[in-house]
Amino acid sequence: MAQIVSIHSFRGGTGKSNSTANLASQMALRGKRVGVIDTDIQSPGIHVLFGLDPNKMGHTLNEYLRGECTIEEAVYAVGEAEQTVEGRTQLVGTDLFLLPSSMSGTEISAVLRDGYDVNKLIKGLRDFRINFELDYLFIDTHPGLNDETLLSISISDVLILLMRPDQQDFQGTSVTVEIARQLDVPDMFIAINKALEKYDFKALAEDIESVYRVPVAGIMPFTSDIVEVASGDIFSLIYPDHGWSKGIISVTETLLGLEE
Amino acid sequence: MMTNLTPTLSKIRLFKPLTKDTVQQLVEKMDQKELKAGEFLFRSGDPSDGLYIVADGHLDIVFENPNPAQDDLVVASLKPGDVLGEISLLDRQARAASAKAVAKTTVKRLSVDTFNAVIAEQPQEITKEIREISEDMRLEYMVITLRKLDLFQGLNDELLRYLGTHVQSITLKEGEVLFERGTPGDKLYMVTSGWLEIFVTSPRGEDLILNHSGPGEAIGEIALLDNAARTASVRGITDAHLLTLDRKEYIEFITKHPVAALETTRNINQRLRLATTYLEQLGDWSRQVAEGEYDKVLKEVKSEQTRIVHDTSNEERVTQFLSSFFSSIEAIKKREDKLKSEVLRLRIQIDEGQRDDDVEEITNTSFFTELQTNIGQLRAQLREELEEAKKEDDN
Repeated sequence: MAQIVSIHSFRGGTGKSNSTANLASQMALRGKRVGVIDTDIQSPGIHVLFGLDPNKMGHTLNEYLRGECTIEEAVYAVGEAEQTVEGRTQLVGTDLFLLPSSMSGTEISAVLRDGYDVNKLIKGLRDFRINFELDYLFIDTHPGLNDETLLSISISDVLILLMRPDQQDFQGTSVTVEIARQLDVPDMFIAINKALEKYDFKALAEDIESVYRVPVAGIMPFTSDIVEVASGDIFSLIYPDHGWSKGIISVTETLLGLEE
Repeated sequence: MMTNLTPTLSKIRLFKPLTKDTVQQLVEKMDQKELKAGEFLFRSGDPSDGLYIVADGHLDIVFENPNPAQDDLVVASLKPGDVLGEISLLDRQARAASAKAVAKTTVKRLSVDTFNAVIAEQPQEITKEIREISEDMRLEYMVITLRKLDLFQGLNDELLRYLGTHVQSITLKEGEVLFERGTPGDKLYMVTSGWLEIFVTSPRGEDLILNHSGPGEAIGEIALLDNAARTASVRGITDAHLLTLDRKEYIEFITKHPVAALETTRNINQRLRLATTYLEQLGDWSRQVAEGEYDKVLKEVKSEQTRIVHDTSNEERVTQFLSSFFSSIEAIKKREDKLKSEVLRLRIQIDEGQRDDDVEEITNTSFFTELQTNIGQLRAQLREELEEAKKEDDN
């Protein structure tokens, strides 16, 4: 096992952080040792979903990249923290670990200005995986194709391309698919988020698969119900029978299906 | 348990001319039957085999409902000392209703054959008397039957007796058609036992059930009055017994007895009320269908399909009547769903030229070429690390 799974989108706004958090939670619920790393250093966001108060963040990926702390010190054990909301309560006792990026303005501008050592990032991923004996390491990547995302993609065992069913995402994802093929990524899937329910999902999956020749791992419907929960909690833990959650579970099961 | 049946038997009108000894003889020749609770003594349509006296327990006379989900119609409740089926000693007509033991029950039976054998040995004057009583009883029985019909509610015994001499008795088998829509209506029918369905056939050949008729109900009175064609077809859904009255006789009857015409008018009034209720429900359901509330209507319609409507309110008759028409909305719904799914398929168009340009832009960078070169090594390193870690674990 010890799969590295990158969740990537060509553009922002696909619901990647939310989807990654939900996917990781579903895995953790199934007894897996799961790590999540927020490599979107320029605009971090996944920590909120896991209940990590930006003001109370201890060490982060940023410090690790500067060599100011160890990987263990930067990792936040979601399963060991006190959880008060309905969804995250279910994560107590699970082996879910988050390596967050700093939300501080100074940190972010520093990265934007000076960049960071991508190789150090890769080392961090490796340490994270080994030291925490992870079964799955989810990389919440930055949108688009840049050096860092290319590198994440190339070391991934599985690449999940998340997109909305709209023209710009279609076009952009076609580029990523081609790049990923050239980088020889072992397994690749497409996941569709914010799909309007007036479309027949079965037909949509068929059409996507025939255009990209990449299997569809799950389709999540557009739903205003998520807006209500927003980043306050993990939606699929609160509403496991909701159509959106069923889409996430479909992606989860696709990943689990690779374990054979 | 009743043991001395002689007094009971003596009280029966048919046995009045007989001596006490003869009655005693009959009693001794009676046989006995034990019934468990829920067991049928006989069922509607069974050949009549004789007279029964309830010796112990409880027997219900019922009209069984062809729909197993609905209740049977209980018309009488018999207890020890009650007699049933005397008329069967006069003619072997099929039983009109069913007899069911409510609790553990014992009955005593005097068979028709036994009765006939004993009577044959009687002196002439007695047999003559019995014959006269039989005729009277037959008519009386007819009157009792006619009195049960809604159509003749409120008629006195004299009028009923007049009718009784003019009606005929017919049987209808399950599935047999009584009359067809469009044929001339020249007879009035009255159901004494069994159930019939009133239906029309759609142009596509499907039967639409409009109503049911059961014991005590009349069929075809409208055609009888206006001498027009039958408005619907009628068919037996069980074996049935009916009394019929020819139009000629009926017109003569109501001419001589105008009060009887009033009854028919009352019946027609009922029909009018039914029609208005029908229009209301029709409007209701049509509106719901127009607004796309298919599931709601379908649910109501489906539950109506198997219900037997008898002795019920206008509302219930109407929903039954309309359910046949509205069951076709299922097809409408399916068509609509299919259309919806056909129209809404996303068109995914990739500009492949643009894609290739964008891909080239990335792959042409030195970073990418370096990455491609090193990736093999990088992946190998990662694999090694994993294996090392695993080995450490195992130790």
